[in-house]
Amino acid sequence: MELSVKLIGHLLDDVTPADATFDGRHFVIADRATPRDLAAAIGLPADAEYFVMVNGDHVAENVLDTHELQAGDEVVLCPPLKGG
Amino acid sequence: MSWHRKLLRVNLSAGTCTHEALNMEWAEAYIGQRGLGTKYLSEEVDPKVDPLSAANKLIIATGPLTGTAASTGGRWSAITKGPLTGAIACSNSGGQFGGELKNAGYDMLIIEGRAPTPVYLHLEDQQATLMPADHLWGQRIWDVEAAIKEYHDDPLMRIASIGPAGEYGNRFACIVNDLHRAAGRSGVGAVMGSKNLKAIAVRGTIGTRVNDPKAFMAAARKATEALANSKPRKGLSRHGTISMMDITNTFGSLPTNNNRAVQFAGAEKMGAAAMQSPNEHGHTNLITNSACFACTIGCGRMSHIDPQHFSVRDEPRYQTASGGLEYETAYALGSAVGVDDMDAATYAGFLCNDYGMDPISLGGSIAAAMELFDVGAIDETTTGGIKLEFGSAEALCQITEMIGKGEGFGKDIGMGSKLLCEKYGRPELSMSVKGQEFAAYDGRAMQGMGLAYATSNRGACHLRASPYAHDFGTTEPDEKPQVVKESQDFIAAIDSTGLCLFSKNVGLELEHYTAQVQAACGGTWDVERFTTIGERIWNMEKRFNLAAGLGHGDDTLPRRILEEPAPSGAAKGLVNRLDVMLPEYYKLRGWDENGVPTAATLGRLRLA
Repeated sequence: MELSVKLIGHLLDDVTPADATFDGRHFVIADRATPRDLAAAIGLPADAEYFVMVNGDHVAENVLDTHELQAGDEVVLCPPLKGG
Repeated sequence: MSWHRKLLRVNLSAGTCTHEALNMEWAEAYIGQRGLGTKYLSEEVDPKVDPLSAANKLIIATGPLTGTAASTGGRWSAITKGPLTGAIACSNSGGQFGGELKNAGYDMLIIEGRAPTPVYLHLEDQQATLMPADHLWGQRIWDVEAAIKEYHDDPLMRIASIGPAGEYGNRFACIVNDLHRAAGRSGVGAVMGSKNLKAIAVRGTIGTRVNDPKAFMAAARKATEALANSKPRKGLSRHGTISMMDITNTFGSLPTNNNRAVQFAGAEKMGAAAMQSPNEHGHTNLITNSACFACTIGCGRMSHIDPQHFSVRDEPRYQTASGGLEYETAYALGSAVGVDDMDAATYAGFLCNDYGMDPISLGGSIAAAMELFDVGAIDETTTGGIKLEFGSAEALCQITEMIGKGEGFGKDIGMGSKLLCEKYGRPELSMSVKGQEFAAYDGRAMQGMGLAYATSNRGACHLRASPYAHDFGTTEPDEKPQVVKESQDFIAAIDSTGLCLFSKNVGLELEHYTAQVQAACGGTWDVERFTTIGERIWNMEKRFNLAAGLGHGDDTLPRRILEEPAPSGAAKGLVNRLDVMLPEYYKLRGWDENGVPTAATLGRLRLA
C-alpha cells in the first residue's frame, strides 16, 4: 500500500533508506504495516524517538506497534523535542 | 571552593555597598542561584510586601558552576517578589553577564531599598561603586550598554540593564543582558526600575576556583562529550529552539489566536526552515547561531530583518544583526497573535530587547487585547485608532512600541493580560496562571504541561517541569502528576547550579550534574541529595507563595483550557483534566487537599 509520509525536524537527517524507495514524501509498504514497521522500513534507527500523527490524529505511544495503517494514510513522524 | 563565599549587599537608600560572607550552611542545603537566592529572599522579605515598594529586594545570584569550564556554566538568576504575579519570581538568563559577575568574585548581589535618584552599579572585581544614571534614565537598553562601555572605556564589560518599560512599571518588564539575553519573566525588570537602578555593569578578572581541578575537568569533559554526540543537541545547534514550531503545530498544541485554536495555518512561515530560507527579495532572516558563556550547544540565533520590510524601512537602528526568534518568541509574536510574518515578529522581538520586555507575556497580553477587540469589549477609540486584529503584523509592530514606551493603550497592555482583561470586563480571556501568561504549549493536547502551568510557583511556565516526551506520547492524564512532580524537583536543582536546563533537555543525565558539583564544591553529591534539594526548593517557594496569599484557587487554568475542547489535533474534543491530576499531584507532593505542605513533609525536607 502507498502512504504519504512526512518526517519533521532531525528525523529527516536520520533516515538512511536501505533500498532508496523513500522519496521524502511517498512510501510503499506491506498491507497492515504499523507505524513501527514504517519507521524501520524507511530506515530510522531502532533507538529513534518520535511520535506519530495519522490523518491528523495522534497515535498513542503504547499502540505504535499494533495500530494498522491504511492505504492513503497521511503519516507524520515527529521528534518529541523538549522545549525552551 | 567554586562558591566564592561572598555576596555584596547594595543598599540603594543609604547608597552603600557592603561585602558579606555567604551563609555556607544554606549553600550546602540550597546549592546556589535559584535555591540559595530564594532562601535569602524568603528570610529577608515579607511575602506580603508590595513588589514595587522599597521593601522588596532584588537578588542577582550565580551558581557554584557559573564561571567555570562546565559546558553551559554561564547562568544567573534574578529573584524577587514578582509584580506580574504577586508570587515568587525567579528569572534565569544566559549570555556573558553571569560568568563575568562570578569571575568578579560574587556569588550573589542583594539589592535593597530605593535610590533617591537613578543610579547604576559598577563592579570591577571586588570594587563596587554606585554611579549616577540620570543621563541614562529614559534611554533604551542598546544605548545604555554603549554609553556605559564608552564611559568606562571597556568594550568587554558585561551589562544587565532595564529599558523604559522597567522604568514605568510595565508588569512584564525584564532585565536584558548582553543586548539580547534576558531574565525575562514575572516583571523582574519593573522591580529594578522601582529601585531607580538602571544597570549593573561588571568586569571580572579574579576567576573561579574549583575544589578538585583534575576531577572537575574529567567530569566536565564527560558532560561535554555527551553533548557533542547528542542528536537532539546537534538539532538544537543547527536549527535553534524554533524547530519546535513544526512539532507543536503537527501535534496540535501550538496556541493560536489566544488559544482559540491549537494549530496555525501560518506555522510553516514561522519555523526553522523559513528562518534559513531566502525570501522573495533573496534575504535570509538567520545569519548564524550564537552561544552563551561556556556553552557548547549554541542554540541562540543571530538574525537581521529584510531592509525592505515595512518595520525597518525607515528605522536604520533595527536594520542591524541581533538576537533572533526563539520558539517562544516565534509563538508569542506569531501564532498567539495570528501573525505569520517572520520579519515583523523579529522586529517586535528586537523592541523587546531594546525596551526591556518579556516577549512571552507581551505576546500573550497583545493576544488578549486582540480578542477583546474581536469581541467588541474594546474598539479603535480605546486603542487610539489601531485596528488590533488577529493576524495584523502592522498592528503587532505598532502596539509593541507603544507598550515599550508606556504610551496610550500600550500602557494598559503593559499591566499584563490578567489586569487588562479584568479592566475591560472579560477576565476569562487572559490565558494566564497566577497572572503570568502561557508559554508556547496548549494544555489540552499537552495535559502534563497544563498541570505544570497550574502548579508552577511563578505562574504559567514551560521551564519549571519537563513533561514533553510523556505528553507527546499520550494525552491520558494518569501518569502526568508523577512526571511533573519529579521533573519540577530536578529542574529546581539544576537551576541552582549555574548550568543551563537545555543541557538536560538534549541528553545529560543527573549524574553529569552531581559529578561536576561534587568535583567543584567538595563533599559528597549524589542524585538523591540533588533531587531532595530540588524538592526542598520547590516547597520553600510554595511556602513563600502561601504566605503571600496565593492558595489552592490559584493552582488552576483558564476556563478555555478546562471547558472548551481543543478544535483539532491530538486533543481534538479534549479539555485539560486538571480535576483528575491536581489531587494526585498534591498527594505525591505530601501536601494536603488544599495544596499546603504538611508538617511531615516540611520536617522531612528540613523546612520546619
